[in-house]
Amino acid sequence: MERRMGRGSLIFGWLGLILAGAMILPLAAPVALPGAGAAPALAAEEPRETLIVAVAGDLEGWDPATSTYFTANDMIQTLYDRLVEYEVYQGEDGRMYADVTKFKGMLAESWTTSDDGLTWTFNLRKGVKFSSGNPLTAADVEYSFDRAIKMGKGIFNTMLGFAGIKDVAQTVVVDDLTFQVNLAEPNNLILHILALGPNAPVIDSKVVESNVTEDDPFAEKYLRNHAAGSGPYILESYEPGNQVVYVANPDYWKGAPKIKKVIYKTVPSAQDRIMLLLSGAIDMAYDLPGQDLTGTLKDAAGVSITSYAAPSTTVFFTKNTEAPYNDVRVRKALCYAVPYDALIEKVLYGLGTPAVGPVANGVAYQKAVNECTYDPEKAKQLLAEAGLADGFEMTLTYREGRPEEETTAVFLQAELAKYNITVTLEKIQTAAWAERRSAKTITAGLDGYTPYAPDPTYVLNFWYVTDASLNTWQYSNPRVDELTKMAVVESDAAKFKAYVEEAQDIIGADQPVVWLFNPYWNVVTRDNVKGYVFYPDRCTRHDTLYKE
Amino acid sequence: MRFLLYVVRRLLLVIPTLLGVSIVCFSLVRVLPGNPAYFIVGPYATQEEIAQVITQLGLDRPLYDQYLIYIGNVLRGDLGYAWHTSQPVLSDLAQRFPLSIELSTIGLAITLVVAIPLGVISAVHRGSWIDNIARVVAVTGVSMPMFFSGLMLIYFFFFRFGWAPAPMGVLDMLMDPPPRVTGMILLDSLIAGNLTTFRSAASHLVLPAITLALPMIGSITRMTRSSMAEVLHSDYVRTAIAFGLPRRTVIYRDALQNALLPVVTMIGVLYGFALGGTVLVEMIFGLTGMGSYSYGSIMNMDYAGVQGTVLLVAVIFVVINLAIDVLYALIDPRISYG
Repeated sequence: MERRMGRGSLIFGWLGLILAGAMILPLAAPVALPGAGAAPALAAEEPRETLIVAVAGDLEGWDPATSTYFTANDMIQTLYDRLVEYEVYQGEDGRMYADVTKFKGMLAESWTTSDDGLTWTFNLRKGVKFSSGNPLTAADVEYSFDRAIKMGKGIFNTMLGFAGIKDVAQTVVVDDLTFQVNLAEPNNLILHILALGPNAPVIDSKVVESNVTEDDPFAEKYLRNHAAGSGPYILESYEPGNQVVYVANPDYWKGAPKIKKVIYKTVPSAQDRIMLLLSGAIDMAYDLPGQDLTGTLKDAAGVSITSYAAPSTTVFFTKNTEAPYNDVRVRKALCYAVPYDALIEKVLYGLGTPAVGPVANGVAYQKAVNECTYDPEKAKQLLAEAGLADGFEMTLTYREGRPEEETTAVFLQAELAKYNITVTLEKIQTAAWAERRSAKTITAGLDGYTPYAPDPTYVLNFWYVTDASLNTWQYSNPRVDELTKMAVVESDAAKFKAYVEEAQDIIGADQPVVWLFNPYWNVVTRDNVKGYVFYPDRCTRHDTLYKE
Repeated sequence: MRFLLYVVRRLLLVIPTLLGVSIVCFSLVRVLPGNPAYFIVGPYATQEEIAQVITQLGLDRPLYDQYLIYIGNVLRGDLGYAWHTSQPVLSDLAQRFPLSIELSTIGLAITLVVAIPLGVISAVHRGSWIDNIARVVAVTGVSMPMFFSGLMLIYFFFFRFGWAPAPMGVLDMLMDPPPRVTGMILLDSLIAGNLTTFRSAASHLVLPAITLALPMIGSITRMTRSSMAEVLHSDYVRTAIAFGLPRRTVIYRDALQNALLPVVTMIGVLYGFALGGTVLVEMIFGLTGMGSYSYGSIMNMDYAGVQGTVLLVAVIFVVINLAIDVLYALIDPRISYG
């Protein structure tokens, strides 16, 4: 009996421990809950100087030379400056936009180009300091470029290559504040590339070099978790998966930003982001479903939704090299078979426009070459001409975790059934999709693109030139290849225009893909957040923002 | 002595178990379609860059070769590098795991505190109003998916009433965490004697813990009830009552002790359930624990991240179950370890 009692008390002793642990909750909760629902402590103290942004996911790393996904680009760009940037203007709608046709100096106060267009000399701004306190010199600019080139990988290296800067010998330090780029042939993209918000930053070479190790010659490990920039904000703390805290750079050469603290919070659930925004606990939210933007949030008090025509295009593509899609009549038929307005309503809840061609809105020299409108008769006729009046089978591939793609796919499946085209939907993991896109083994699928540099040659070069890395549809037209090459190096504006327009005309006639729509970029904030400037890279320039 | 031998033998068995887990997990993530290299380099990359990353990751080697390298590193305490967070997996896990353990433990504690009394009372007073309420609670808890109950809790307690803090992280924004000792924020706050962070963390953890507890409460209530009912029907209880022992003593001392034995076993299983549940709960409540980490790893095809998490969960699961078996030997005289 004694033994048994001992055992018994053990159970209860043990349960008691758990109970005691659970007591923590009822004890703590009532104390903590009152007032806890109000805006967080700091925001209450200085709400006008703090901006809290809720994002769906975290970034993969802080190295601007290799970051390629939007979330990372958006979080990184505010820490760095570039050599040049776009002018800003007020549109007719009263909003502020980057003017993608006009450049101004950023870290470069001015620049000159030799008559042959081969030598670019940048005169750096005096007195600019990195957040480490190191002064900006031409050596930093050279190091930033050379680092990307020597790494031989990453988006900055790709972009520099496109701008004709492929060798470290092309970058020259003339003196402390003069940096020179020598090109082998003229290049129209160079200023666009050097203005790239997230990917063309000038890094603090002293800080980065001091973190170089034998097996890490480019300090990639260091830059994955640190920043070394001169931008309007300084990275104060980073808790992976939870939050990023930026503080305003008090010595910023443009003057200290009005918002003193920017906090990015990872909030994976869209419903949470909506409630947080409605309650005023955050100032800005990314990645909200169109359904809520046009529903719950549309007329909600205190919330402002502004839609911008971003240079993004969503496409329904088929592999141009494979039957039956190697027949232009079939591609045209698919194009005439889509009821665009209904699709935009269904997928984007009206937050987008029909696409006019390969080059999206907001890109200079855009030409309307998309001949398709919804015309079922014409689609039927084209299919009949191609000998496919009885239809065919198609496997349509799209990505998991993208509800808008799923809606589009289901919509297309139903529409195409009217032409006896039997569509099998194939939803695959994003990683599998990335692999198959790269290997170009998707026969029919959904994709989207947003050129970082708002220039038609950028679109042509990465999506429509033969064997381009993102030419998933394997479109190939030698004349388009030739025109793109000529346009990139053409210094005469009229000729440039003629080349890119001819290329767009050809693409319009060839119909390599079905351009479904241009989705808007929706900026969702509390209505006291002002000063937003829309850049084609869609990243938020926090230093222009302020709160009323 | 025999008992010690048993524990040692069980501990030795942990090794093949974990090896098995590591092999299965290692192969499973690689069977999934898609190669992380394409993801890492991004869409603009050339075939050469992709090839370079594949070589770097060792993905071009035969599978057994990759596994041997991996397990060799694990034995040296290197779980690899998670590309989607740019951190070594070990430091990622050290950062995030304590929160999930904390959350699961509180969830489990709430479950036991609510479910056991509810189950016992239902069994003793079968058919009474409290039994009926317990049944409704149990069925609702089990059948309501966590993403829904979690969202509802946020909707009412944060959004409507403003009682709960915003579902963003485990502390108020910009509140400095207590000095890191265990990594568990409540414990660390107590160790540091910082009641402000303790309160903040507790208020942030209440709703997630309840969300996690709801389905467990359902199953434990029902289990306790049936186990208790069975014991109450047994001969010894009837005899004891017939002999005139006080009913209360018989039920709450003798019967309860025996009825709780299967519940103790369930705790091990439930701990695994709770740890699994943190995936959803952490996503809903914006918490940075192991759950959201494993989700991120899977979505990003982060082999090292997935493998590291699975291995750690396996270790914890094995340890907890071992502890429970040992506990069992102590509390149940019928069990001996030979």
